[in-house]
Amino acid sequence: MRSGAVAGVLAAFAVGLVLVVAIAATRESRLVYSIGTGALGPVADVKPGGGEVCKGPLAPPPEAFDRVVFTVGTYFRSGPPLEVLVRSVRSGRVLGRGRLAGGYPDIARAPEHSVPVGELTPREPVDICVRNPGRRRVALYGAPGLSHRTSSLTADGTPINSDVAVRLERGDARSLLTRLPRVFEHAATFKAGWIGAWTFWLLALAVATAVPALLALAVGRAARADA
Amino acid sequence: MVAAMRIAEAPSAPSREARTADPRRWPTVPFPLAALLLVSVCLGATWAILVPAFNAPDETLHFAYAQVLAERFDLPGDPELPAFSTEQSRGADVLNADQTAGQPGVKPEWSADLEARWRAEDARLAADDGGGPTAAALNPPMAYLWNALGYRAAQPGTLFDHLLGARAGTLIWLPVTVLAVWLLAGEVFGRRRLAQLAAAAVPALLPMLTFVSSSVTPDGMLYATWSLALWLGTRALRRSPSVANLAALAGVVGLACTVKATSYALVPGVLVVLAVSAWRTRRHQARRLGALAAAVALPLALTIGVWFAIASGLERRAAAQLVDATAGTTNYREFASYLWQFYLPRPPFLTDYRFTTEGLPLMEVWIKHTWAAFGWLEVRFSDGVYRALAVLSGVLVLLAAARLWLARRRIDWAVVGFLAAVVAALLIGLHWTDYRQTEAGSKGFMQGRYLFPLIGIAGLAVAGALDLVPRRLRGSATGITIGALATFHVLCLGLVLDRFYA
Repeated sequence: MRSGAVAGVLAAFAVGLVLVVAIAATRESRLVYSIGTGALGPVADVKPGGGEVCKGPLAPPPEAFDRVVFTVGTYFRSGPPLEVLVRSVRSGRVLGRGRLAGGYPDIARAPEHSVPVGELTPREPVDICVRNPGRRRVALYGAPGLSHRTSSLTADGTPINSDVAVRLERGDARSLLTRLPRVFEHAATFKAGWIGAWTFWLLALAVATAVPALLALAVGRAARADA
Repeated sequence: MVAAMRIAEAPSAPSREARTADPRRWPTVPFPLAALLLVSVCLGATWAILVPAFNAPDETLHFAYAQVLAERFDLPGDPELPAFSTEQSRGADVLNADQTAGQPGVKPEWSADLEARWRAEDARLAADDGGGPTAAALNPPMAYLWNALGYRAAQPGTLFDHLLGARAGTLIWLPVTVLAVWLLAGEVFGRRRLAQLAAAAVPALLPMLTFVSSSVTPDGMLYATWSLALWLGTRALRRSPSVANLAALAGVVGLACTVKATSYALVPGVLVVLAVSAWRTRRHQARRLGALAAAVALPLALTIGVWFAIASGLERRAAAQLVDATAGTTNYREFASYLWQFYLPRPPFLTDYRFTTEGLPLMEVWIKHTWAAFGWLEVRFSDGVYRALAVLSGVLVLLAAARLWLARRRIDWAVVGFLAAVVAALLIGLHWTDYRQTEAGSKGFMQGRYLFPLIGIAGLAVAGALDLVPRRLRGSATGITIGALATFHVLCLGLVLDRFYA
């Protein structure tokens, strides 16, 4: 009974671990950084003829991204061309630039736009700006009230008490498994001072090895005691 | 805890070995129990470190309570003060905690640059200027004292150091819960280690219970005190009536009532134990009966009574939630309709009750919330997973009922009566409160975790179901069950990691 009990724990855990690894290997994401605002409704008009809406300063982690994702409402018409700029807050220099070609549909048919801006790994605070050189206004979507409290939203330099939904992404989706080092780095922020990515590696090791080992020993010893 | 561990080593009924054991010998803990305690602490620590600040149910409110206790040794509820300290408000803002809560698509802040700026700013922010009224401010302070101790142990530090310390103040109760369920199973099944291990593995490995027990909340201590009460009540009934057993039960129940008003639902169970004990000693003199009654009354007076006296002195309501839930008038026909529709599909002759959850509440609340609904309950698997878990839960209940039926001639029905009284009192209280709050326009009171005080009974059900397996296969079946539960736990950790940080 004892060996069967130990084998039962280890077999169930091994099957589960394979499942976990398989899920982690196939679950993909492009996300590098999000300001944590949902696209709940229109919050900022980008005026035609060069109007500009900016969100910043943002301090994304030093990870490469190559596109900016946002949501645009076109007031039921085809959308005008838009420029996306990634600008250094300190120097004002444009670090990355992208363009959304005109003619795109309204939000019902195009809930999000992912605009390539060239590969960037910012190591300084940046502003993310959307400029409208076209002849029709558009609205950027986000949430009312300031949700990302360490940055602000401005339209042509005037502060707006709302936030746009904006994400920085990579074009090539990567699995959770390959992103694990980054994920652990993310998890280590805004935690107790002694916690780092190493803590999560250690915990993962303990959960994957010590936990099943202890449980197998426990079941084995319990079976022996009952026998 | 050492005393309880000594009992854990002893067989369920006093044996010659136990009576002749050298009292100076250091108590040895059975290895399976020690291993399970270690596993529960390891998993609990993982959850406490993994989950972003304020992304567990009501953690903002509970942390605010603990912070007021730790910083000023005061109780919250002053209408002149803000609910949260400047430090907590600012920390939650920087982390984006309020936006993350309940919105699966929104991530917490993970900018290391912002974190460095926050650390520099934190020392200048006031941590002692909170303490205003919140829903949690109505709770008694007993559990928060442990959170406050953890908070103080993390001094000096930032908000997030204190938060982890406060979470550790809850986490210390998780092994107590595991130990209590082990002891409860020992009383019910005797000294059978596989059954005890299977029962205690439920609180040790159920992900949702570990998640809640690793956040800042009074619920961790609530589960521990309830599990201890279930064990002590069973123990009092399984042995000859004694003043010590009844006093221990009443003391733990009194302690539980100073954790959360929910614990008054244990009182009917205590009365069952007292009544059975009195019946069994009816041939003895009245003095003996008086001693048993005093054994219950005195510990209750020393715990609940003292809390009522303190609350009165501070002009606080000692059992506010209990009083609020019982005040006013009720439409009993509608309440009956509510109860039916909570558990069963609505027949055409009943008016559709306006539950705040979509779908059958039995599935949405009891199944989803008890198995896996993390963060502010928004971190979940796909519906198919819960359908499978619902089938598994149903099969488990049927098997446990079958086990009970097969053992009906050998069962101590007084124990069943005691456990049934506790279950009924809790369920009635929860449904009553849920119905009344829904009627008052609340967005929903009922949460799956409110069933966790009964985790000891869930453990007995699992052990009972495994008892149906032929003896030669029981070890393997127990091993597979425990391994599967541990695997599910790892999956849940991965789900949370992916939701918040990927």
